[in-house]
Amino acid sequence: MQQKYTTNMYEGMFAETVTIRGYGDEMINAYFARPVGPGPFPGVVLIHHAPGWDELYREFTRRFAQHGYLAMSPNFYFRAGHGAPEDVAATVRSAGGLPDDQVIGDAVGAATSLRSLPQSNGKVGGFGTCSGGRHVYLVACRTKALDAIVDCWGGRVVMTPQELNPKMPVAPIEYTKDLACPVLGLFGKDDQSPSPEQVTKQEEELKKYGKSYEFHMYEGAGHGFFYYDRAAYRQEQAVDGWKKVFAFFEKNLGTEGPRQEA
Amino acid sequence: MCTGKVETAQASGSGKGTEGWFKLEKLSVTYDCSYHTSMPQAINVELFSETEGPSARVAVELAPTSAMELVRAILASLAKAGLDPGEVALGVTAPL
Repeated sequence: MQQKYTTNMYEGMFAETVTIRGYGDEMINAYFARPVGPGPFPGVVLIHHAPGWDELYREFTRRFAQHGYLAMSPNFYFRAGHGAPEDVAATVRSAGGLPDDQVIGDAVGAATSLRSLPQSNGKVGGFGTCSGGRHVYLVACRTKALDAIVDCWGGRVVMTPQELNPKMPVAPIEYTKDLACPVLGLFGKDDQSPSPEQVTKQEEELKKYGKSYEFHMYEGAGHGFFYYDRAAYRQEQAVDGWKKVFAFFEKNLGTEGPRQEA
Repeated sequence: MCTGKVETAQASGSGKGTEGWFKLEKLSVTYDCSYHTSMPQAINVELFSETEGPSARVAVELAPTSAMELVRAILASLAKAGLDPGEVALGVTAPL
């Protein structure tokens, strides 16, 4: 883990675009970053936000690798065509978003791919922000592919009947009873989707079914407070949030093998 | 915010994207996460061609007040041209 890093240690990573088998056995691309070394390492599947499979998410992926994770960020917008990430994201947005089943299939494909690696410790977590927070919650409820998840400000976990559609036929909160792993939730009090009231509803549901969860509602932060390339960035809350993410994953996924001394 | 609320319609006309002019096919309007503006959410207006792919797109991210100004200006422009917005909407009077 990075917090244990000292300047006499060796550190290295590989990061590249790969292809994986996703929903419906279709091949999609993914950005994969991993520490150098035999491990064993825990894995993390990153589910990108609504603005797309962008540079920020490739950086998040490398950040997890630097902290000792086999990190994979699938391109959930692969089927929408290729172009600048914001153009592809706009195409998906105009189409009303992604079908939930497709996202789940792609995420399970990424988790399977990570577990198959010889340097895997067998544990795989999930991390998602914005729509990705909603998606990671769905994956953890509807499959057993993930051992711990971090839901960062996932909107529309709580949905009104009017918001349901053929792509998103069931509100994720309805699946809470089936949640198969611990969840860390990070939210901003000034967010409107999810609103603090919706987060409270989600928390009540988790409590009701005796699920293992840890929710943090940050004052002075809104939607996307990790996004240092946007006005939504909140330095203090983001630094604390990342600390909580790594502590949570270390507790639930284990850590990498011993580092090599220089 | 990630509302996912989208309004779409067919579009005819031309748009100028990063690779020049292209024929428009559709438009969409959302109040959702913005990509570039400092506002956490905006009225995102997209004019695009599905046939030509994701890059064939004209995009603006507007503050709600600016979006209303755009609506007002379009309606005023139609009126000045002697076109009835109701008839245009029904395709009785084609502006193009």
